[in-house]
Amino acid sequence: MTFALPALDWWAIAPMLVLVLTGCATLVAELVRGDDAGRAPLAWLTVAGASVSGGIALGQWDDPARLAFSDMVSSDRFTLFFTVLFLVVTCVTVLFAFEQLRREDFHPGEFYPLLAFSTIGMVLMAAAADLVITFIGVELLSICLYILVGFSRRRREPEESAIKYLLLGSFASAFLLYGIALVYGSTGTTSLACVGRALGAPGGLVGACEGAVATGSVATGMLLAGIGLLVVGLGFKAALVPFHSWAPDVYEGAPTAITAFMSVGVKAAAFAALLRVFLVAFPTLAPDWSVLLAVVATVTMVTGNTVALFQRNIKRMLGYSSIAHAGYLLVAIVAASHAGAASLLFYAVGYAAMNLGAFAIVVVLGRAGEERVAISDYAGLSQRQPLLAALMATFMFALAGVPPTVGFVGKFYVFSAAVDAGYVWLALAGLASSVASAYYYLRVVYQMYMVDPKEVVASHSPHRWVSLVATVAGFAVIALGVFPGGIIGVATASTSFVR
Amino acid sequence: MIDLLWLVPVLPLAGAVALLAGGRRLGRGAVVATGTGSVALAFVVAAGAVTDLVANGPAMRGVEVHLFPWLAWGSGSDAVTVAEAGLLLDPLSALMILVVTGIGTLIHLYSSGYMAGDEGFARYYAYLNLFTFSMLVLVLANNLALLFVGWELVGFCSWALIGFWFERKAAAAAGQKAFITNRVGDLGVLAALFLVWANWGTFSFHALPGSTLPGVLDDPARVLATPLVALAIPLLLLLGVTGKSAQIPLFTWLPDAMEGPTPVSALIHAATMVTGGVYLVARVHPLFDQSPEAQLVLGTTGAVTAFVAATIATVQVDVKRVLAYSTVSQLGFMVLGLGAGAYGAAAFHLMTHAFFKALLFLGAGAVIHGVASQQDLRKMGGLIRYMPVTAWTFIVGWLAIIGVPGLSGFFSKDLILARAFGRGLVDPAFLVLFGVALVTVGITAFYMSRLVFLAFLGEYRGGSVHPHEAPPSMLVPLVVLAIGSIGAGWVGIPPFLLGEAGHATVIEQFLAPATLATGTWEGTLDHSTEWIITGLSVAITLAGAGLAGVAYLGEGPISPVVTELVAPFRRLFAGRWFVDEAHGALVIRPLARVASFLASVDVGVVDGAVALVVAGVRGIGALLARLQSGYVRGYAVTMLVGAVAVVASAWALR
Amino acid sequence: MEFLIFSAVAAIAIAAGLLMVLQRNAMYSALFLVVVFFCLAVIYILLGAYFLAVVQVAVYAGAIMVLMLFVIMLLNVAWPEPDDRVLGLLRPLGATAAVTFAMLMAWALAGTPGLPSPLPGTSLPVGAAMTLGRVGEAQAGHVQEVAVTLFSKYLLPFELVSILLLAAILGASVLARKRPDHA
Repeated sequence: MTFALPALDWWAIAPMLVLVLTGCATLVAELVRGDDAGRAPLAWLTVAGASVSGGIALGQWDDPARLAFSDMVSSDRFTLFFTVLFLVVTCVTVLFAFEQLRREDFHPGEFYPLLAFSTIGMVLMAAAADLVITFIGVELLSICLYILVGFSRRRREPEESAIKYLLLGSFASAFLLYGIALVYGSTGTTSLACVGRALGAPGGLVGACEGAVATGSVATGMLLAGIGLLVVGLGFKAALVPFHSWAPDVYEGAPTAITAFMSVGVKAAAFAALLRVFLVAFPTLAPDWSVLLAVVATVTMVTGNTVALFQRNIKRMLGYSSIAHAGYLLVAIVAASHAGAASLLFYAVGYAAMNLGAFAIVVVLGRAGEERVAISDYAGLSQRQPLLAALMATFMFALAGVPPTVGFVGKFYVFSAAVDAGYVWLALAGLASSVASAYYYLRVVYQMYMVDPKEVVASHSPHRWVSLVATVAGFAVIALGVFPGGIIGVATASTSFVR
Repeated sequence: MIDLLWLVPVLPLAGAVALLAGGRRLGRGAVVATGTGSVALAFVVAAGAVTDLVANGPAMRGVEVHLFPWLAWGSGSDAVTVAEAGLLLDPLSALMILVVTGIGTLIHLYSSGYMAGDEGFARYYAYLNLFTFSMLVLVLANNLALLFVGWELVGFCSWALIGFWFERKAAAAAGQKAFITNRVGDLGVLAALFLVWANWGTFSFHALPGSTLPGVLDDPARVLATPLVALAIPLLLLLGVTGKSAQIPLFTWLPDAMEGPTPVSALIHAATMVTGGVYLVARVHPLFDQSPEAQLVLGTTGAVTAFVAATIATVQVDVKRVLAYSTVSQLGFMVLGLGAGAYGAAAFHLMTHAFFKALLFLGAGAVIHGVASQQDLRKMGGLIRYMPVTAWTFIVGWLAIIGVPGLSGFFSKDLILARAFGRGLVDPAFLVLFGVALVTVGITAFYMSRLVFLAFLGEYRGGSVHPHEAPPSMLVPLVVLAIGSIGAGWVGIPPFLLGEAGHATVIEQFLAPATLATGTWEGTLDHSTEWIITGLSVAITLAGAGLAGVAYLGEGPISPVVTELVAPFRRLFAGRWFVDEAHGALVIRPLARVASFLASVDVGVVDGAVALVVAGVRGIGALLARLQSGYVRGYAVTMLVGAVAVVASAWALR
Repeated sequence: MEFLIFSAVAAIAIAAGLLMVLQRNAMYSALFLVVVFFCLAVIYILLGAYFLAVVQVAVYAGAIMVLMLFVIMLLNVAWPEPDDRVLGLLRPLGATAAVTFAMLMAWALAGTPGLPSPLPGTSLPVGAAMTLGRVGEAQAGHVQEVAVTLFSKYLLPFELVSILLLAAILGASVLARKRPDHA
């Protein structure tokens, strides 16, 4: 038996390596600096590491697409696109968390390493060329999140949320694993491209598929069950209905920084994984699963938008809103086309801008020990903080899909991809539910602009970095709505593996 | 100047940005100069561009100005533009930009007097400029997607301006109502947008089937829509029209929108934004020409709205509400014209209405300004003695709207009547609509006369408040608009009145390249029929006005028999035909019930059942507490049920 | 013979699993879990994955279970009695859903022919052999095989799991640090 190390293509996973180093460095730095001294340096160390990682990812843009480490991960533009997106989300989360941790007087020692590691999990989900890696990515992300969700010294809700998330997350992981096993059992391989080839998909980046059994594009019961279970497992992370029930509770209970991280980053990661799995491994079975996903998407959009109407807590409202947006994103996968995939990437970017912006405002308005997350807390904000109110209004209108914001353009791309794929009814259902959504987004704006403040709140100076995030996000929301061409071009180039 | 067309929308936008950014630091004079100046400049550029367009000769076609690709697919050189940011100047949009910038300038100027004492002066001007920009995007867009951007933006500005005085609860609520109601209409437009995309793969107006305009995207081999889609698209657009242009069943937001400042009512809720729906139909009329059924629905909506709104106007006591219902009614006339396929006539009425209705609103604003914010007609009277300029210009507007021969409203309203009658010769249903419209003409004369008699004639009933005339900054626009209200109709004098042959008026000929219905009826009546229609409408107008004179100028009490007779009608009209109640009972409450049911079920199909049991046992309070407690076991069961459903349907749906 | 053993062990595993979930007493639950682990180890042996079987017994049944038992005994956890009115409905529904799910899976797998044999002339990958045990006598399941596979084909996942474990340790330290604060 000869033993040969596989080709070690370190460069292909360099962005992740940098994140590993960053996580370890923050861990060690915390030990060196002691308990309370190293707060700001840890945050900046994380941001610096993420920036280096992102820089490397950008530098790899023109590298040839390839599989690395025995065909376990793909290093292609899709991976890089999401890597950069995740890193931006991580940096923003660091800025949010820095503000919150300072306020809550909480020890950041483990926070930043866990954040860095969870980012690695997300990158793995996008980069996975093998279901084994998808699973490890999901688990790495989940383990870190279980802790991050419960991260608070002063309040009890985070812990409750964390336990809920842990129990249900483990449940979902079991479904995911079972699904992977059934897919393996049906095709003899866990490599996405090899599964695709076994099911009759043409070409693409395929490694050595030893053991894969060509079954043709006929879905057996076992395979369909496996696909269904993958939908359950990944749908949990994406908060698709009916696997969403944890989301509002967890979003409400978690520290706002982590809520933002989950609603944007984790969701994008789940969709990156869904897209990889369904459009690399199962493209030939699209007729079998697209109707299923279309139904799930419809139920998700309708449920999210309806239940959001009844929320009084802004984090909970944004939680249901993010469920609705998961429905829109799923529409892009239903289209099962290159256009659909590109529109998903575009929407992910746009959604990141809108939602991170909204959460930035939520963070800024919070105060020590008191998050101020009732929607009625926003009453009269336009008089106290006109700029913040204007930004929040922009984000709300964008989330509602009012042109000329990125929210409108994103929905336009997603739904027209669905229409092109023949799903006119799905597009109409999405439109109807998104129109209804205006009602609850507008309620926030109404509070800010048309209701007098309940109490005179001593205006405290908002954290400059978080305000900067909100401003940049506001700018992006408009700019991407007027000039979407650049991002859609990049998104198209990043999804060339979809046919 | 056509090359500079982009400046037309950009100038007001620049004004809005400048005012939003630096408004607080600018003095009032500077704010007025920035706000009014930018729109006035836009008017100058627009006028120059239209002159250039006219110079292209009688066969003038649309001129497109391409700015930048907006919505595109693909990357780099492979990118395919789906919808560009591009402007289309043709006779129809030329008319619209002149109206928007021209009347917009006057209303900006007027506002400097009307809003003089207001705290949010700069904010007001910023919104007003932003609105002007949005409206210009709406009318200049060269494709449906960009038009929709303008469509939504004007809705946003309308919301902001209605709720401008948000200290008044009613104002804030009215803003909400306007926005939400319009979202319902927007759904129609969006759905139509995607159906157009699904069928023709383009949003460009040029490439619409049956378009009279040439375009690079035109393709004779284009697949025609199926009959169902050919009917669905116009009907969905009609839903948008009923929202934006306040038609039945979505018209109730417009009277409530009167909570906004009066110049806003004049600009947005009378002259420009609410005509957006009319413009939309005229713009994409080939889609309507394809479907006579949709046209009939359109025409019926218009005629019925005109009638219903006019009846409601007869019993309103708030001067602005009378005018609001009058606007709804007049928009109904336009929509009737559209339904009859007379797009040119509808656009003509749109223009004349912009003049006289802006005049009436600004006049009403001057009155309100002069009597210490009193809007109740019962507390006015005899104002002609205190504010002669306002009164006389208002009287011009009154004569114009009721259609006294020679003034603008006479020509445009009669043109619509004539076209509706002509359509009736081929499609008898339109004869009924014509009849309804004719009756409405009489009611219009009645309620407008009532308004004038109650406000300006008779004795002053306002008690201790001493009315005073408005400042010059408000009077100048009134005078200009009064001149327009008289003269604007002269471009549409029908040939038979001038003793000439032919049928099409000058304005219709001008608009023809953009609005001529293709492949459908082209109105031809003989001149004697036209004389009869005109005679009838003038007679009915005089009758309506005379009746108002008897009722409101006559001495002594009205006979109790008459009072008894009209009482049930008064109740119906005063109750606004109970449309709001119908919305509540038929749409809003059922929807709310469904939504709250969904919300209670959401916590899990399982949990929903559990919730019902618990609710039964311990009451609603416990239910809510339980729903929020987030019961993990319930969630897990939900997931399991979901997993069963997904795996089972993966099977069933393959 | 193989089939008989498999059926018996699988049945015991399922039964023990159910008992573990249904037990009110945490100690008993833990002990039934040990039974499940042992059954799994037997199934691994049947599949020819000897190394995995040994690891299963040593690590799970041995180390982890002992740890869990310690924790249960030390904490002396009292399980709160859940609201019976709520559970009353949830339980049958959950059970129905679970049974339906099991039947669905059984149906899906029964309707599927077993994995076709690899094409003649190719051999199953070691990874597959490790879990599927199709290679029979040859070499599958031996420590060396597992090691080679782990450090070649599955090198990246193997290394990534180390990060996962690091994250888990960090999490444990966060939880540990948190406790006193709440008192």
